[in-house]
Amino acid sequence: MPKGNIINRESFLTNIREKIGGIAADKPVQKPSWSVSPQRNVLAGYDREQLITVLKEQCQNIHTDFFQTDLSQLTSTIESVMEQYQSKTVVYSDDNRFDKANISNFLAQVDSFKWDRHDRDASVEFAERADIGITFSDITLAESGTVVLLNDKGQGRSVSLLPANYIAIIPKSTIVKRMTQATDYIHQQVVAGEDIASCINFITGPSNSADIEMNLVVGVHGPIKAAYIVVNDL
Amino acid sequence: MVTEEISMNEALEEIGCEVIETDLGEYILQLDDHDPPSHIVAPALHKNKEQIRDVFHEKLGYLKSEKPEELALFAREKLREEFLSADLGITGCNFAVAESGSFALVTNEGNARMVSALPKTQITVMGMERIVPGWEELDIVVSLLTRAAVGQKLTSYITALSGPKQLDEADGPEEFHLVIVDNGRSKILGTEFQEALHCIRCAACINVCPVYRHVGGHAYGSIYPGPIGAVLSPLLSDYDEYKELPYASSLCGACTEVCPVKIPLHEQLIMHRRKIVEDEKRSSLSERVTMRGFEQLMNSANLYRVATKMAPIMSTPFAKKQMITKGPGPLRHWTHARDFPKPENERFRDWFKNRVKRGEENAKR
Repeated sequence: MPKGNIINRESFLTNIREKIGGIAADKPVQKPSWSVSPQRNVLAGYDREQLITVLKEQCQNIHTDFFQTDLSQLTSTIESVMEQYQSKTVVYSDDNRFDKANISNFLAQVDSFKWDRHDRDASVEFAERADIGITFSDITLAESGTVVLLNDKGQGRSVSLLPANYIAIIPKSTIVKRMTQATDYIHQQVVAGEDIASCINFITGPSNSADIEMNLVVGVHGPIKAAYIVVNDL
Repeated sequence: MVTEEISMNEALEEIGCEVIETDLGEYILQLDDHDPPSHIVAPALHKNKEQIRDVFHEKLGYLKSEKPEELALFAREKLREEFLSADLGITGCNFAVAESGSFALVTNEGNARMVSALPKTQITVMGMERIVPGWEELDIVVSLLTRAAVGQKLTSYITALSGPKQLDEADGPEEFHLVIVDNGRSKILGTEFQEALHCIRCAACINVCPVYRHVGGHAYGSIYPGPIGAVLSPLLSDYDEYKELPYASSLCGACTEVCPVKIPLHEQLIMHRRKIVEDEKRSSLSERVTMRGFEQLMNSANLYRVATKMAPIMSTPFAKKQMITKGPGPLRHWTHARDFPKPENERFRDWFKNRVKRGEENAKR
């Protein structure tokens, strides 16, 4: 990652140090160790099948259509969701899991566009007019019904954002209990000195707003409809 | 929020920039000639759907109904054009993560994702207290925020950004600037009000506050309304501007009870009141004279005895049916709003003494 410039750092920090009672600048920060962590008890002991049940139930709260299928039926499931959402044009991530799941061939036959990491204008322009965007989930949170996308390289930010409809393909192996497990994973990446994705999106269903008289409106700037397809053997 | 606190839009407009708000509520307010927000999570809470329809009609030629779905769809289409053509995207920051230099945006509409995916330059404005040590702590504060603010386990979008886009990415900003704002926050550090900086802006205290529910957000005259606004506004600005706000509370403590980060809000309001009266001497002359008199009365046993003996006699001319409806002197302010019961002829101390005596007599029988 390229380094940035930091302006006014010393005067800013000196001011804070003085205000909180003269902490020496060279003293390392000691992070407190927390005595309780209730977040780690959520869904404790659930196996993956039970987590899928939790995810499925949560989908009702977040206005998201839920499907569960085997790899052999994935193409037809996608097809039927596209039909249900009246979607013809597709934008999808540049992600080798599309090949592994044998759906690249199907996508090549419809009016589709694979996100091009080297062509911003063409990619954004197609995503803007596509009826539906399809991505894989990198980590899936059962408790909240959230797909986590580590958006970098071929995984464009716009694929899951600009089209009016969105499909997240969820490999069963990506399902964890809650946000705690996802942030643990990212924390471990940071500790190991790895670069983390420049944009990490926690997506929970379609976009919505309650800004007009606190009435829930599903579909504002992002997708209006969303579907999750859990694939049993991925 | 923080961009409103520092009047950023006005400053940008002054140098000739066109500034478009992208949150649906903020967009409505901006269109309606910069109507100020009245709630920190739902800024256009004070408008009904018919008023919003009229604003859209008047400013943008909207012709459809007042159904929230149709209004939102119209805003989606209008704002989509803006997202795609904007040169610069500006976001706030819900939480920054120190260990990786990341920051998280918590939204439901997806506007923050648009702003951080499409324009080629991004500026993020962050209040200096919105920082957590690492991703493990981000989990905690995000979970607290979404549940306390809107009762969702997680909002539709939580977007964590770490700098500009990389070379092998197509969308995202090529240039990224983070501005950390102090604007009076550091002077709260190390004071009795420091806990107010723990606020995660969920608005739970605002939603339960009986005063807010009666007067609405605009009455506070600050972009931060409700109990947290009454604590923060005088701290970020000063008592000249906001010395009335700490009194906009019945001290019922509902705010303190509901606060997910346990800020002792109503206690901080009392601390403000103490500072305003004792340290700053900002109460009115008549209040100070009255309080001084009360202090002397209460400090002297003799004076107290005389005064409580005199009270029933002195108040007789003002009383009708044991109630004083038009009180004299300082009592006038009270009876202006409600009746004051006439002091009983028998003082509590006398009543108590007599009661003990009667009890002893009864025991002898």
